[in-house]
Amino acid sequence: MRVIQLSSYLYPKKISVLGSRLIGKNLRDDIERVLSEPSSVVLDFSDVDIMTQSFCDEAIGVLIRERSKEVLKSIVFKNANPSIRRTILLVKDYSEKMGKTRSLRDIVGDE
Amino acid sequence: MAISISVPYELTINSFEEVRTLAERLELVGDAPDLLIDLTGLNWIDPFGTVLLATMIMSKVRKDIGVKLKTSSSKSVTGYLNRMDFFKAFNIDIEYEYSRNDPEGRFRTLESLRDESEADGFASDIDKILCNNTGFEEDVLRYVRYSLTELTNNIFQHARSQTGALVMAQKYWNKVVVAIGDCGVGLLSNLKPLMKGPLNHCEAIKFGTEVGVTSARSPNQGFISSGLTANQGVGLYFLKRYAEFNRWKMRIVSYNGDVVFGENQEHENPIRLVEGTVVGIEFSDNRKYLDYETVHNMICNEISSPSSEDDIEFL
Repeated sequence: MRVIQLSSYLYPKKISVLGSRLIGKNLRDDIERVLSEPSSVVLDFSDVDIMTQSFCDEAIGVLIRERSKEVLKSIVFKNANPSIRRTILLVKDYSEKMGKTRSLRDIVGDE
Repeated sequence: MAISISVPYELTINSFEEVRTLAERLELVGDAPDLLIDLTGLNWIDPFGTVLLATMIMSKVRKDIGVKLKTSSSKSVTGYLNRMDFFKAFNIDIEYEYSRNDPEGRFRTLESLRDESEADGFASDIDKILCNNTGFEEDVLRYVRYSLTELTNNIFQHARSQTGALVMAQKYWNKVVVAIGDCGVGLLSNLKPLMKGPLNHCEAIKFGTEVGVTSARSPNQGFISSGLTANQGVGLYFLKRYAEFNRWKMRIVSYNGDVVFGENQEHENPIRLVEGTVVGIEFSDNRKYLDYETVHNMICNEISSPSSEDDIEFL
């Protein structure tokens, strides 16, 4: 099991935010590298206060849409505060419904 | 001979009629080959007005329209703009006595960010202004940090601006005004394929802050994003809802459209005031009842009803 410290992806760096989509993509690439081996990954949110939906969508949402929610069986979320947990759940929920081809607007229209 | 455009008395995030007046004056001169922007009647400007004016001038320059500025050295607003690097942005050297020092760290001068990688310092500097000069509660700072990050994300992914983004910020009393502008394609052009019915720029601005509205989609969804796999159009929705919960003023000018959120103010100008988009937010600590965690949870629930955490492992 590999541990990825999310604090090394902070952007903006000085204010404990995981914010940028570009950095979110870097994290996704790193997760995929770990998952390409028979291994699971722990995402450790120590010292992270805020994670934007954009970052989470790029890092986690894309993985779920491309690989289905089964990918979550290989990921453990550690030390995530309540708002970060809720953001992960939000992104998981709509990504699961969307699959590869639908947009979030289609999902919102369904509800 | 250059045709003169007089900038109104005031140009701030609160100057709704004055911006309209400026647009009407621009319409009168049409596509004159040379413009003289007369700043001598201007008495009060803030980061929103400065970025708006700079974006307007850049829009003209990009169309090969010659632009000159007329200033009055006796006016404090000239010194202010000089100190904020407004003239430097256009390579204009103005002789004026002013102090560059900002020992209290109350402002961020006008600067052009070329790409997202340069937004890091901007967000950190705004945070420094907020932490050192306002009495904002930590919980309110969390709203601000989230909003600033989503705003910069949005600008760099959607605007398709070749000139990057213009940014500026300043603290006033217990408020901080932040403005970001770009010379990009604008919201209407971005979102037209997704909208129905008669379209104008104000409608596009409001539409762009709804859930799931985005111009950047994965390739199999019809739109091309800027090298990223997906974008679900939630960032601006969070920004709008945070502004509503905190009673911040948020204003977006995009081409002909001018919308002030939360105040039912909007105006479709007869002419493109800017060829791009300018977003201004007046951050303040008006929080009365709800903490960040509660509001974040509520907004997430508005987007998607929460499901069980059973298939996610949280430690």
